[in-house]
Amino acid sequence: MISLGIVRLNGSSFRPIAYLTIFAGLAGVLGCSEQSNRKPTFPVTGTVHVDGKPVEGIRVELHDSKGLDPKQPTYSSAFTDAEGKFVLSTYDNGDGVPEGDYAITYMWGKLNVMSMAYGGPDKLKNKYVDPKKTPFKLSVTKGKPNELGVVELTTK
Amino acid sequence: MCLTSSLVAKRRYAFTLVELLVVIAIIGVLVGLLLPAVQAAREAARRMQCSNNLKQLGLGMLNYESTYKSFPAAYYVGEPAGRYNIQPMAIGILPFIEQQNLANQYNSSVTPSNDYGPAGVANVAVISTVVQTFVCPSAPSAQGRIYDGVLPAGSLPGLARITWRAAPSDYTVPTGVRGQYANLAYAAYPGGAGGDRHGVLRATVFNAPTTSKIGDITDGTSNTFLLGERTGGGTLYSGTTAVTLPAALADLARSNGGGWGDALLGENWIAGTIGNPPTSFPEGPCAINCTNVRGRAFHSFHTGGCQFVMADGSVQFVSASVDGFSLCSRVTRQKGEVFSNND
Repeated sequence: MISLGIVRLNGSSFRPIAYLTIFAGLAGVLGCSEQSNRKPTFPVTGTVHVDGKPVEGIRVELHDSKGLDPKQPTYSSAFTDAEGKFVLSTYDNGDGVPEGDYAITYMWGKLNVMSMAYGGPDKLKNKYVDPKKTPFKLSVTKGKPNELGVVELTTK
Repeated sequence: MCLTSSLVAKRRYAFTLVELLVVIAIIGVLVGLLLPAVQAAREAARRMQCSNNLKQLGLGMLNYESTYKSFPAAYYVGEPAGRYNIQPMAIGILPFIEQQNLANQYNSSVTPSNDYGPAGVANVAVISTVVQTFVCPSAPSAQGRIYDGVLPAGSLPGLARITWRAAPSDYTVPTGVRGQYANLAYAAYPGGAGGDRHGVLRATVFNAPTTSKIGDITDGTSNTFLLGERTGGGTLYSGTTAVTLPAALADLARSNGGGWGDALLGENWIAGTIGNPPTSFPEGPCAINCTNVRGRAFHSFHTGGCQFVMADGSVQFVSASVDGFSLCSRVTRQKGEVFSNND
């Protein structure tokens, strides 16, 4: 039986089996790499007050302190609701933020209905839109949800 | 002897209860196997019709290009300011998709609008006619998706609010890539997201000379989208779920450019969004089937992806899990990316 098996492996039936194995292996590797292209995310929530009152429609953006990761680039953002609350999203609604150190920027602009781009003029006078100058920082670590509490902004 | 033979004969002409039950069980199993297959076949047939429409529109555009030596403008805005002449892309290709009658009824010196006199209203009657070539059968019924469009005051300098009524188009013009989708897609690309990120069709605004010929598609006609799917009408979707917008955002759906004769169909810079987006529709890494909001994503009711007609007239199905770089490369016509066409 064993010798028969060896003969078969060395014979003509070896090639298709080998190709199939290599193909299956490749497919497995490719499938896995596609699955793992997303980074794990952890919930980040908060509330924005402007001059002491909650404001709807403020855009909250995160900027990685190391810059955009070229291998697995992510962008995390959210808009505040009527109570000023926001839940940051990266891939799916409310899924959170990948691990890392971030600068948080805030903008109170509006959606341009023609171009469908959210933009200025910023009612917060561009005080919180520069990632290098914003005083708000965030460190997201594995398995630890973040509640930022009430963030006080001002138009003055 | 006589008795037994008659008994045997009787037995031969009848089924037993067990036999009947077995037959019924087999039929039940077969139906159970077939029904889902029939449903899948119906969707496959609708998708084929949908891709055939795309092909017709693509050929119509290419024939337009060979007749006029340029593709139609994604949309056209002529002066004078205040009461602009705003023209949608699709009017020009009507004669090339066997809709000469509709084209004859249309007056291209007046914006199709309820607010610009009888000629504008007559144009509205034309663009609110359902044209089956612009309808993907996988999407909900076209008659139910005729909607009231609006361009809010000040969308163009000095423009007063105008309204119209339009019949849906499930095919859209990708005018380019921008925003966070482009940033993420070009994160590892030398030079990043800068440079020319225009699609094939260009808008002509205030008579600015923009041309788009076959020769301008230096990335190659087989590698560049001409049109893609985006579910039209006045309903916004998050995934395949219709979204109820808060009153303050009601104009968002009416300005979504979901009609074949709606000029806003031609203003569609893909910025991506996230899975199951909320009504703020934030930008993000998903540009296929996450929403039909203009300037965010391509959208269809097919499982797992959207169809596109390329500038060479072929139709491609692109998976929803497509790499951002690969999709952006196919939207842009001159950026010169080297990419894999396999997903």
